[in-house]
Amino acid sequence: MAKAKAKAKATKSGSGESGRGHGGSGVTAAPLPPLFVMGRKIRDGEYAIAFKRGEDGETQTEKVIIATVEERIKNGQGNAEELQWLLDQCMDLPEEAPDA
Amino acid sequence: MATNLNRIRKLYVSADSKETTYGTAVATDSMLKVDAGVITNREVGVVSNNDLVGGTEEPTEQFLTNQSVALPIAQARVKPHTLATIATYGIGKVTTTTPSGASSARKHQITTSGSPTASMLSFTAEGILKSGVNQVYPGVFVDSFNFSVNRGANQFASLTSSCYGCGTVSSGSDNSRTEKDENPISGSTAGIAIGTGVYDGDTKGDNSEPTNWDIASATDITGQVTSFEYSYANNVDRDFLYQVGGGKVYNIAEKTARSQTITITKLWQDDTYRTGLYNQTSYSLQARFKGDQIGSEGVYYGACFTVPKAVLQSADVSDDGGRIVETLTFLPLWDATTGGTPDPFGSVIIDVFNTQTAYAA
Repeated sequence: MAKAKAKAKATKSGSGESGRGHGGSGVTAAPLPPLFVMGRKIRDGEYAIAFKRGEDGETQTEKVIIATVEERIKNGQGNAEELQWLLDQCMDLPEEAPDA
Repeated sequence: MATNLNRIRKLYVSADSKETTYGTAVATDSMLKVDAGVITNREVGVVSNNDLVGGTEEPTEQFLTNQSVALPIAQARVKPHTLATIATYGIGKVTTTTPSGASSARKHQITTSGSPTASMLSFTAEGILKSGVNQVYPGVFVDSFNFSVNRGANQFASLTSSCYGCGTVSSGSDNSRTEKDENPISGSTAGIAIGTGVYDGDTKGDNSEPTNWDIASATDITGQVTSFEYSYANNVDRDFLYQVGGGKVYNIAEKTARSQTITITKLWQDDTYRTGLYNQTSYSLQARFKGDQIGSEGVYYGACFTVPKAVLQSADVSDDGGRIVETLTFLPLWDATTGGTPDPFGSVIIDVFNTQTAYAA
């Protein structure tokens, strides 16, 4: 099913703190870009991407609906850099879909 | 004689911090504006000598055997924070993540997968019946809870629960806890589906698009639904919580095997589900409730219930105001599929979206 990729893309903003706004929640800013762990295609236009925010971060999986993420970027909803990174990971995945 | 108005009272809970030792209070952190008609009460067990002879018609003495606190929490317009608090402490496992692209938004995934087998999480509550009368109730666990939404003019979701404190009561001093600033969960922007395919293995992180399902081969029944209800019970044997040598209060928080049902009442269309009852067809379910956007982050307040695998226990057709409806009672089954989130899938996945950074940490 999922094809692990031991790649850790650090292509855009290096290792510096990105200045992610945290809305006064008291959460320490996370470095960008995230570290890719693994990914899979769910169906056309939908993927699951597992990633970590920083080497010591917990792995979390994000379900990515390409059209929705593109719309968020277009409308300025959320951190565009991280959302674009998410799209990039999906585009890099092989076009194999699991059995439905 | 003073009159104390009911609506003046307050209830605080330690939503973000669980007790590390059962019955040892931790600081509360938020106020829940719960239903006025549901009030905390002390429960006791007593035994008198009315079963003994001795020359009197009335008993001559009575002994306290045990004590506990009944702390039912109900909210007619349940907010995400309240649902997350009760569901987390009831089910026992929560994973909090910051959805991609978000900053203050959080997705709290509460799952039966990974939850403790017998032990339960506990929180501390503090009740203020009037100014200066603060009572701290440690060792509160959730025995059961029920989440429901009905079709109609008022589609706010409702939550009821049965919670119990260990029986210890002390004076407190918290006075400044505030309610989380978020709107109630509502069925006005929602999607409910019954699928015959499998769960995708991941649920959406932004709570957008209520009818974009995380289950395959989904039939959108949103417009047919007259009520949706999720019931969860830990089936606690409360008598068992008093250990020998443990005094008169609960010493542990332990459940027996949990039970859950999803009940959907919908306009009857055809005999698909009555046939499914006879065939014990395997279904998947999802109900997503979308609220306001959190900031401008593209993530929305609300909640989503996902059941990877379920079968029908009943599919009763009846009359409801002259309309034919069917009440479908689903039994969530344990789905042992691995490789997704949660891993394994388990029986029920509840995602709650708000800005709270943690629950039961």
